[in-house]
Amino acid sequence: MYASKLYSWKFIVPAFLLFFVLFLVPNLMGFYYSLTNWNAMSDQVKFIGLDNFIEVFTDKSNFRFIYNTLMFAIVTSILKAVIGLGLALMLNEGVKSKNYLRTIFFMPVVISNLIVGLIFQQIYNPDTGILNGFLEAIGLGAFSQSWIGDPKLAIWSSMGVEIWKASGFNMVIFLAGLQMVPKDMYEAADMDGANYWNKLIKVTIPFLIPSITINMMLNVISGLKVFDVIFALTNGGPGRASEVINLTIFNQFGLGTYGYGTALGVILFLFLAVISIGLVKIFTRPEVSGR
Amino acid sequence: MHRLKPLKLFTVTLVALLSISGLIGCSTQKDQPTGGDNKEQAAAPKKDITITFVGSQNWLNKGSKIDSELNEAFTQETGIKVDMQVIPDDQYANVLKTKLASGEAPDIFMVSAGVGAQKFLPDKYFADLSNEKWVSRYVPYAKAGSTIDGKVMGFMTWSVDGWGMLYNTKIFEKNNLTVPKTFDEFTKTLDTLKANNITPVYEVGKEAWHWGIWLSQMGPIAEKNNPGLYEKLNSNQIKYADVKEFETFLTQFKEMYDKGYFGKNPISNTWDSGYEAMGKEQAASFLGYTSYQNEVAGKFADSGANDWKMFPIPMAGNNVFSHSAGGNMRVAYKDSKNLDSVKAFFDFLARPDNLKKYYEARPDIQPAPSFTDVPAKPTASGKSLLENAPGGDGMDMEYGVLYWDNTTVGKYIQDMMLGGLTPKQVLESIDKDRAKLFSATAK
Repeated sequence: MYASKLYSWKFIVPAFLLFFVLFLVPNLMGFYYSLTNWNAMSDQVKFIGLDNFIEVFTDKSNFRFIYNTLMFAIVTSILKAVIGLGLALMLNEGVKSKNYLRTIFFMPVVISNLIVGLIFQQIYNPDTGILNGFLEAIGLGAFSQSWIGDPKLAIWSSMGVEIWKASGFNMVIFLAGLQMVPKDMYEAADMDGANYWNKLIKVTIPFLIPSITINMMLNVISGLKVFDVIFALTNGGPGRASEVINLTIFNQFGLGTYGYGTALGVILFLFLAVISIGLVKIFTRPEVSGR
Repeated sequence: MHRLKPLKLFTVTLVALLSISGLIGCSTQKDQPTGGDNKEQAAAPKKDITITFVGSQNWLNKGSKIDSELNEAFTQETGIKVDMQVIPDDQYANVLKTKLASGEAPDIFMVSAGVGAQKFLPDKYFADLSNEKWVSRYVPYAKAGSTIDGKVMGFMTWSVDGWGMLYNTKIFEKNNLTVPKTFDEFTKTLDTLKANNITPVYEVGKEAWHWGIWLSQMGPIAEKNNPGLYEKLNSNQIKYADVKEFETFLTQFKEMYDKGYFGKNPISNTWDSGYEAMGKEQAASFLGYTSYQNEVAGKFADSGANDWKMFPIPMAGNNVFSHSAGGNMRVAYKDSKNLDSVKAFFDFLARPDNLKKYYEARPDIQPAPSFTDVPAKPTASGKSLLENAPGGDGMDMEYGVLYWDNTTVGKYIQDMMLGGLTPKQVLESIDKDRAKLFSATAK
């Protein structure tokens, strides 16, 4: 009876053909080109095996962008989720004007990343930027910095922009998750004498596991794939201090070393696949066992 | 389980495949010229021909609509339409490479003159224009810059320009300073300016490419001291790290940064901030091109920028005027069905009346036009740069050395300024990038 409701597998043929031609074929070609010396200066494409991959991992100067990419993904993922959760908890209560506040906190999400990068370039300007101006106005001038001109600070300043921009998105997902928490659970917890923190840890968070999973997964993926914010804000500089993998790929394509750039793209893809699958496994376990 | 009949299955598959091929077909038809074959065009240009023309934003219609106006005039005269597509500067090279690689080459496309053209595979895509009548009216730099492997492959309407230290003559006079000829004299000059609270050299350090421009200007003096250097660099017989002048320059450059000659936060300075710093006399000098002073004068009329002068960067013994290969040029696609129409278009643009109209609309490229028909109007800085360069002139590395990339080189230099790399390591990093391309293009 149930089997008769299934459509024939042949119905997937048109969709599969489109997927195959427009997605799988270009991706598989990408894998192939990562094993070649494809470049701008010659139309001869030679198969060179794993040479591009060996070079990526043996060139010490590459460690910096690998470190930057990982740090960016880890720090922004955690802080976006923590701030997003904080905002969601705050705006889920009976705060006056909470609808306006939700809109305000979500607004940065809809601004183009390139525009955000350019705006923060001005905000971070050490001489004319409002950040240093504000610090000086409140008597904290000693904390004024060259936010994107100092190689030690540039990547952290970029993270700050990403966190500012995307915490609102995390907030919206957490707000949706909070609507799923049964009110009677809080009432039962109240009757047992639980305080706010007890209720947060023992009731709210377990019900928010699906929201945490989706937020963390999207945060990590967008963190590892970050490009436009850094491109507009620091362009990977000063020097290569805030360079991340996608910017390196972009630069390699600009230099004409397409095969090498494609190899970096393949590494990023594999990395994303492993991390995404790992995250799903980690976060879905308590959800399943909780049932 | 329901099964599709073979005929239905065949129909579904066929429809799907047709849809896909239709989608792909749409993309390849986009830039197809609508003209007839070569034989027909050779007889007389057809009215229904459209030639496609792709160029970078900053190269076309700059400060005017002159390119569009000339295209329109050509259409009125011949009936041949010109479909000019303008691509943003930072995407241009990639868009053009993609078009060429995917078989969608436009009939005309613009490329940098000199070695910069090599990355677009001249042998494969560029038509030989050596026998066109206008070639005989080229000035020498235009002919040299558009010649590849002995063939003229580009139609150039630009101006040769070079980079030098532009200085505010009023500030120099006020502080009793003269043009420095050696690095010692240069540092003394900069010390005086700094002591008087004037930024000695304004560096637009946020723009990585501008740091690269500095080193690029050291090419001619290194070539002068080591004859055949460019040829050796281009055939991978010598490395940057082996050239003494480059390491000396970088060491002195770092010294300048450490002594604060570039101001308080040079790494944060954007290109646009340079106009204000120079126009409002906050800084005394700037590494700029010879027409830069016109731009400052346009924005700050009271600055007196039109009187400013220039000298070659007095570092690593440099006394040479380093210049480009003439900016950029239009190239005809070798296998274009509309090649005759493209040549007719170039003939039209090369007519003295049209050249006059073009250069009059482009004050930024009037100092040294590409054709003998148009009089040169050098700026005060251009004239003084030549006067202050007893070592003669030479092509900078951006235009003379294969695989040079100002932005990449500039990032290494930024790293050096911030203590991440030594001068030697900067040169080794450049060599490493070049080695990749030499290895990839090895036969």
